[in-house]
Amino acid sequence: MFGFELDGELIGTIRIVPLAYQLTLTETLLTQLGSDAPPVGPGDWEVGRLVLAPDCRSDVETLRHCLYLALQYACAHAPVTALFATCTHVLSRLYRRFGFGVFARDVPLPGTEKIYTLIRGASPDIELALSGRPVPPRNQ
Amino acid sequence: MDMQMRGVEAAGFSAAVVQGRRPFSIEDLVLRHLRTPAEIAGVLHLREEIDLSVHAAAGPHFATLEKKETSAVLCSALNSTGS
Repeated sequence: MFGFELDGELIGTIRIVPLAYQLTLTETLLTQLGSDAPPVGPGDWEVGRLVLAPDCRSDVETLRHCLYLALQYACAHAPVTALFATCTHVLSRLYRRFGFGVFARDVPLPGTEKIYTLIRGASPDIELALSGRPVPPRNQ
Repeated sequence: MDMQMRGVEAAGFSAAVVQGRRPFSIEDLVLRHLRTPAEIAGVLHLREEIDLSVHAAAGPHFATLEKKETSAVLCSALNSTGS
């Protein structure tokens, strides 16, 4: 669990959890995908529980920078191949800007009426997108 | 861009945009690995903004795992074994 500190005040938090231990919502939802579920291996992590204090949710750049700090820390302390996350479909559009891609949508959480969009990104792609550096065009 | 929502979406990878705090530089933001009970307590009010009730209903182990995550005892043990 991490916190984002501004002028000595914790104004946000985020959680990064390794996959493959059945601790995450992502893995619960992956079971709904059957054979369409992407493989999960060492170096795959779920990022979530992201909250910023209401008066700090001023713009996307704050969110982007918080994610950038968290990813930099994670990569400095553990192998990070890819990040997975769960969100609403509406927010998945935002996270595409940060290097994530949608690999499943409208995935139901068993026992509830909740549905999720699952997103994933390779660590280098997310790092580049969050860094603010120009993203080179993909080869067609 | 769909950040103009209010509130925080349950459990997932979500955030929101609300006007308020005086302008600040994002470069002033610092990441803290929360290791001590006091540090963890400092963000619990933020975590409580996430509505996890639907997940509690989804499985009997959810509440236990979530409680362990913010437990001072468990966090201390995990942090003592490295990152």
